[in-house]
This record gives sequence, structure tokens and C-alpha cells, in this order.
Amino acid sequence: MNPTMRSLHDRRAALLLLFSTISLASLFGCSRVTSPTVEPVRVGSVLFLTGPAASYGEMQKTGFEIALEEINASGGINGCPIEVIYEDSADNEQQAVAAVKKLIAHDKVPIIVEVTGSGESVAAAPIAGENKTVILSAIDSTEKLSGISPYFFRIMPSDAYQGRFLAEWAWKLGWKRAAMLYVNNEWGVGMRESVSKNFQNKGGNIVQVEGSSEKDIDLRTQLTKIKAARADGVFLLLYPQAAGRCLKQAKQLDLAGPFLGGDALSGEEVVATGGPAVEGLMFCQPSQGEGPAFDAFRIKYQKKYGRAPSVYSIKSYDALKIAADAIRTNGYSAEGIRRYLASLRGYPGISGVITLDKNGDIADAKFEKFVYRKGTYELLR
Amino acid sequence: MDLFLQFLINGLAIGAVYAIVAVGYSLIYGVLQCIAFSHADTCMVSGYVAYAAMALLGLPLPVAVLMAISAGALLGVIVERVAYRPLRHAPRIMPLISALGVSIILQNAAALLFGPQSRNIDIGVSSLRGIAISGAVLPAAEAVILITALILGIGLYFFLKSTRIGLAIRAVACDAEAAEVLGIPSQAIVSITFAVSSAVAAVGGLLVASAYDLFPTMGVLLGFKAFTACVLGGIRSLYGSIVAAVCLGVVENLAAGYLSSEYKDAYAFAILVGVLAVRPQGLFGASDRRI
Amino acid sequence: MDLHTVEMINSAGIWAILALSLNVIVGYAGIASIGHAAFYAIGAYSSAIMCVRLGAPPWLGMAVGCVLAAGLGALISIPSLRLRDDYLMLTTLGFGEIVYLTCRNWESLTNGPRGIGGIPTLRVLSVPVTEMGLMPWLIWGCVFTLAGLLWALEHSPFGRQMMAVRDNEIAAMSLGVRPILYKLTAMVVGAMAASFAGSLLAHKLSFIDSEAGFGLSTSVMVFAMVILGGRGSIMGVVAGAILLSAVPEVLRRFGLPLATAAPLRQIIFGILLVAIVVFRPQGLFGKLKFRE
Repeated sequence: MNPTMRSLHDRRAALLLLFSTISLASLFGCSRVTSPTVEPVRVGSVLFLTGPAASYGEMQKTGFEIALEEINASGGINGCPIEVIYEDSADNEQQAVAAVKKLIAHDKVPIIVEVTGSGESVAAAPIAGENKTVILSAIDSTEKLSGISPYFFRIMPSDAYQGRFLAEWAWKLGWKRAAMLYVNNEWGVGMRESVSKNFQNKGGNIVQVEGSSEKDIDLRTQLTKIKAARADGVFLLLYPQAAGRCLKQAKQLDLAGPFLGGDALSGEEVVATGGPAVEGLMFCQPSQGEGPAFDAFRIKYQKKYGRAPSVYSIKSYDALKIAADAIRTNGYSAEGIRRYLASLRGYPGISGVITLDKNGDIADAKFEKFVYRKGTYELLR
Repeated sequence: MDLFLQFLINGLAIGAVYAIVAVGYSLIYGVLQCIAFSHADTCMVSGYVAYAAMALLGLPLPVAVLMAISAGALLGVIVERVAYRPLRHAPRIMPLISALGVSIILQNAAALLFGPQSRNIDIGVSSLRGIAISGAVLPAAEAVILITALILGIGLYFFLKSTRIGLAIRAVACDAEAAEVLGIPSQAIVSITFAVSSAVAAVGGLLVASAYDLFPTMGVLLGFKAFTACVLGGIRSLYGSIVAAVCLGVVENLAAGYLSSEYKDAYAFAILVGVLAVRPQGLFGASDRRI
Repeated sequence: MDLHTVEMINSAGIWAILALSLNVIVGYAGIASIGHAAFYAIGAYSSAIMCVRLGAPPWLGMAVGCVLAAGLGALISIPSLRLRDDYLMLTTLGFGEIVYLTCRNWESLTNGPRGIGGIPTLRVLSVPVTEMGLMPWLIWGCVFTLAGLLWALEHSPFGRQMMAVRDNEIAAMSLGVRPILYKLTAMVVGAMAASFAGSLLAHKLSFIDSEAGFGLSTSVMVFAMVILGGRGSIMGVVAGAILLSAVPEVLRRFGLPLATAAPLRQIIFGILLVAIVVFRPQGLFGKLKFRE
């Protein structure tokens, strides 16, 4: 053996050894040291912690964190503190599925509070169902999730409701001919269908539909076509960054709107990318809730994070609180949690009173109208 | 008619940006005979340098621009040293793969430092109204792009024609060995070419960051389309590449306008594949047996 | 053996098939392809559309996928003769993106990002292939079968001629070897194997959409697996596949700080690519030096 061959073999052997060690360690080792003191109650969560949509993950996590503080400050669940195991899906469905499986198999959580992303939820729901683990979604709104599994529940109204609300709102504003700009993904396409169908049912006409990809930075082509269609208004079914960008470019092209969008437009990037062009933008959100509990949450959130909470933080807070209540009531088991959620009626959440229907959907969906004025949004009366 | 005019205007603006980036690909290819895959990410890095200077350090625009251009040039020189020079004599896909690695590093470093959301650089024109041209609008930001590109183009022309360094670059691009014989240090010229190309690309990055958006993967499509323009025009021909880039921007917008806007990016890919299938040396390139 | 571990095993297996399939194209025919996810997508969507919309049996879906992928592969082999390596690499990128954009936008065919669900589970002799049951055996069985077939190809006269074309096309031509035949075969074989991997994915996930991993990042990932593992080396690329796919999931169990994990992982990945190419171009286990 000449020296190069030997060093090659050594290197190979070393690598194989390293790899085997890691694999073996992961398969056999890695069990948590159970402390003699109180074992925390664990739930899982799969969020967009990195990747292009990471701001959603951040909004959700901050909502969870406040809920966690409150639950644990008042004694936790029957004396045990509650803990969330966060997993990152990075807006990648396969990773989301792997994360869900890890939570089910390795961490053995009975409930996963939120698997962010419509596509991710659709992929994960059957897996959770097969393995008898509950998924409680805080913010996923695609219609396809209604009744997808007896173990899947959500407290965000389905896009079917939001589409209808937007169509009715537009109709009330006097729109007869509308244009539409949507983002080409699960959510955007779903909203496109829902809004179109409802608007046409009312007697309206969708005169121009333009799609864009999430990465599209230049929407001028689409906006030029929409401008040429001379519609009464434009449905803006985009995510916050694209929406801000779009409004800026629309202004440059002398396309005045009016623009009407969905709850995604509550994200802070709208103003960050759109600047003054955002003035007058209208959108709807599920009712944020009112009353002392909601105000208290808002103040706490503002103090801790320096900004107003978005609907995603609010819903995440409610979702975790509901999960804790389920465990407190029916015990730390998937079956107990499932029974609780299946019969959830009139729960006083800060996002409103929550009742779940037989599909695991929120039974009534109230929306509110908002408009952007001077860099921030306010309720439109 | 004004629809066509609007598409044309939009296309010229983005085409000008493609042209600015294409300059780098063409110049580098000239002296190194290799495709600088990571070139477009220089735009992104420069954009972030300017953004950091303005938004985080509060520096005024001219200083930020200067910093961005210097940073871009420096990055170009470093990348050449690390990812291209060691592979000078390796088969041509090797620098391409290492450049791919550099690209990944730069994009993710930006994501790590600044987060994945879009940023914007305010150059003070966002409040200006656009110029109305017979039913279409030329937004102020796009006017800035066109004017800057024109100035850059004229500057580049004189640089390459009249200055010593410019002539040296052309000499090395023509025949590196002969240039060496005549006393031109071709290795140093390569570094200088990278520096110049990256500085030009930095300007492009600033334009995109102000008129469109700045985000970590900004360079991916930009680079691909600029490269497509080079292929279309003939990468060895600097002015051919520039013309092709502007044409690409226009064609892309017209196609997206009259056909489908969802497939907008696909048109560039289709053009690339088509040109390479039919006339690989490009419209203005000399005929080689093998490109 | 819990669900997560099995998921890692199954996932690594599919990546291994992809890496082996790309190895034929990159390692045997010398075509640097970064559009490989296109064939993967064709396989997945063929299975999905044929089984869900047309009610066809899974093997037919796979077969259709293989045929279509082979067709696209053959198409790509044509420019491979006229273009040099780096231009060719970018052409493959173009092809890959066109296929991805088509999957995303041709909604009437693929349902775009809304995807196609309800893809049936595979059955082997009436036994369902479940994730915790037969699937790891089936997938890795395919890996080893494919590896075996490729080994046989490598050591066959046909295979040797293919390597000759890869190593020095002009010299090979002077010996009477016609490059188009070998490049075509390599592309077709690689494409079909990748399509098969796509079909397996579709049946495994039972729901696919355009964002399930058919874009450039997947192509780059597979390419990196081949380069890292050592192109031309069967064991090498399988090792590369396992390393790059399983290690992040293993690290997930160790609970690395999440917020920085993904970009950091990618930066390490990028550094690896540069380092491999500059310092060890034959990859970890490859025997080949690139031709000088």
C-alpha cells in the first residue's frame, strides 16, 4: 500500500466511524434525563422559524410565549409547568412532515399546536390522524383542511368564509367589475377561487386575474394589465411583503386602486415595503376580540415586543391556552384532548368566543374591516 | 397602444439592470474563459452594505453608495482569489461548482444577518411622480435606472477604449499569453477585471434595491437572466451582451404582458435553452465549432 | 425503531436513488446536470395523475413517468454534444426550472401548489407498503438493486466505452466510439431512475404539490451529494446521500438552536462545496480525478 492509499483508507474509516457514532447515538442515546422533580407537560409545534416566511413563525412564537408565561405563572397544569417543543419546517413540506414525525415518535407529544402552512398542514394531518396525535391549528385557513381528519382542529376561520366576506364587502362598496392579483400558492389559489365564486354569485364580474410567484419582485406587468382592465377595484390576495411592493409599484404606474385584501395584510412588512403607498389599503381580519382579557394581552404584548400583536399572535395565544385547558380537563392524552376539542363550545378566547363544529372548524366566523391610515391600520367603521 | 408602451418601458428598465449585470459576466469571461456564477450575488451584497450603512448606521446616501461599491469590488477580488484562481487549470465546471458554493454562502449569510424579508433603499425618488408618456408612465425610479445605465455604459466605453487598464483588459481577453509576453501581468488584470465588474454590479444592486426590492436571493434570477442575455448576445461580445440584455428585458415583459404573466421567468429559461440549441455562440458571437 | 427514525431511513433511501441516478449522468457521462429534479417531478406527477385521476395501477404510473422522463433526458442529450461543460450545466438548470414552473402553473394538469392528494399506497403482492412496515425494505431494496445494476453497467464493455467518452471524447471518437449513443443512454438511464424515485415519493407522501421539492434547491442538493460522495463511485454517492439528508434530521433530535440552524447549515454546505472542489475534487470516496 502506498502512503496515499493508506491515508485514503484511514480517512474513510474515520468518516464511517463518525457517521455510525452519530447514528447510533441518535437511535439509542438521547433520552431525556427524567428529573426527580416535576416533569413538565410538553406539547409540540412546527413553525416557520427560518426561511422566507419566518416572520410568521416569529409572530406565532411570541403569542405562545405570553400564553406560556401566564399558564406557568398561575401554577401550570395541575402543578406541572407547560413547555412547547418548537420545530422548524422552514416552509418546506417534507421538513414539516419529518418534524411532525419526530414530535410524535421521539417526543411523544399528544398534541401539536400548529403546523404552519396550508400545504404543510394538509400533508401532516393524515399522519397525525394515523398516529392518534391531535393537531390544533391556530392560523391555517385553507378550505381543504375542513374535516381532513378527526384529529385535526383549527381556530382560524376557513378561507371559504373570508372569501365570502371579501366579496360581500366589495359588492357593498359598489364594485361591479373587479380585478384580482393573487400569490400562486395553496393559500392564494384557494382565496382566488373563494373570492371569485362569491363575487360572481352576487352578480359581479372578475375582469382580470393575475398571478404572481412569492419571489416576484417586479409586479409591474401584472399591474399594467390590471390598470388597462379599468376595474372598479382590485382584490389583493398577496402576502405582506409582496403587497407592500405591489402598492408601491401601483402608485408609480398611477394605478390608484382601491385595493382590498385578506388577513395576511396585517403583517408589518406591508408598511415596511410599501411606505406611504399603503395609505388607504383595506383588508379584513377575523374579529380580534374585545374586552378586558384582549386589552390586557395587547398591552402585555406591546410592552414585551414593542409593537401591536397581529392576528397570528392572538390566535396562537388562544390555541395554546385551549390546549392547556384540554389537558387540564381531560388529562395528558391525545384521546382526552381530542374529546375536549370535539366538544368545544363557547370558549372565551381573546380572539372571540370559540366554538368548533363537527369538521373541527371554527363554527362562526366574524370578520372586521380595517384600513391603513398613516402607516398603521385601524378599524373601519 | 399605451399598454404596449408601458410594457416596453418596464422592459427597458429591467433590461438596463440585466445589462449592468451582464457586463460583469462578459468581462470576466473575456479574461478568464469561465462563467462567474456568483457574480450576481455581488449585487445583493452591495445592496445590503448600502442598506446597513443607511438604515443601521444612519450614514447619508452618497457615503453609503461609495461603501457599497467599494465593498462590491473587494468582494469580487476576494471571491476570485478563493474560488476561481485555484481552479484556473481545472476543468471548466469546477469553478462553476465552487462559485455555486460561494453563492450559497453569500445568500445565507445575508439571510442570517438581515433576515429573509425584503428591504428597500430610499434614494429619495419615491415621492416623485412619474413622467407620463402618451398614456404610459415612466416611474421616477425606472428613469433613474435608465440614466444611470447610460452613464455607466458611456463610462465603460471610454474606460475600455482609452485608459491603460482598459486596454490591458482587452489585451488579456484577446490573448492572455501574448499579453504576458508584452509585459502585461495577466493575473493582476484578472483581479482588476473582477474588481471593475463587481463595482459595476454593485451599482446594479443599488438600483434594484431602490427601484424593486432587496432580499437575500435577489441575485439568483438576476444572474440567470443576465447570463442568458450574454448567451443570447454572445458572451465574448460585450456590447452584444448589453444589447441582448435590454432586448431580453423587453421581450420578457411583452411576453408576460400579452401571454401569461405566471410564466414570466420561464421565458428567459426558454430563450436560453433555445439559443443554446440553435446558435450557441449567440447573435453577435463569432462562430466556434464548440462553445 | 420509531416513526422519525424510519422517516429518516426512507427519506435517505429515496435520496440515494436520486444520487445514484444523477451519478450515471454526471459520473459516467460527464454531464454536469443541475436540473435533475425535473425527472423527479415527472415521476411523481405521472404517478399522482395516473393513479388519482385515471385510476391506473401504480406500476403503470411509474412506467409512464419513466417513459416521459426518458424522453426529456434524450432531449437534453442533444445539446450535450455541442456545448461545453459549463454552458451545458446552465442549460440543464434552464430545463429544470422550466419543468418546475410548468408543474407550478399548469393548474389544469397538476393542480399547481394545491397539489394532488389521495395517491394510493403501493402494494407488493397484495401486501400494502406501509411506512413502518415494508417501505424501508422496498426503498433500500431498490437502492441496492439499482447499485448492482449500475455496477454491472460500469464493468461491462458498454460501460467502459461510456467512461472513455467521458474521459476524452476526441480520443474515444478516434477509436470509433460514437459519443451520442453513450450520452443518450446515460441521460435516459439516469432520467428513468430519478423518475422512479419520484414515483416512490408520491406513493410515500400520498400527497404532492409543486412545492414538495421539485425545484432548483433539490437539484443542487442531489448534485452536491454526488460531488461530495465522489462522482463515479457508487458507494460514494450513496454515502453522500445519507450524509446530506440524514445528518440534519439527526441534528434535529439533538435540538440545535433553531433560529440559526437553517442558514447556518446552508453556509456549511456552501463551504463544503467550495472546499471539496478546491482541495478534493474526487469527493470523499471517489476514485476519479477530474480530467485535466
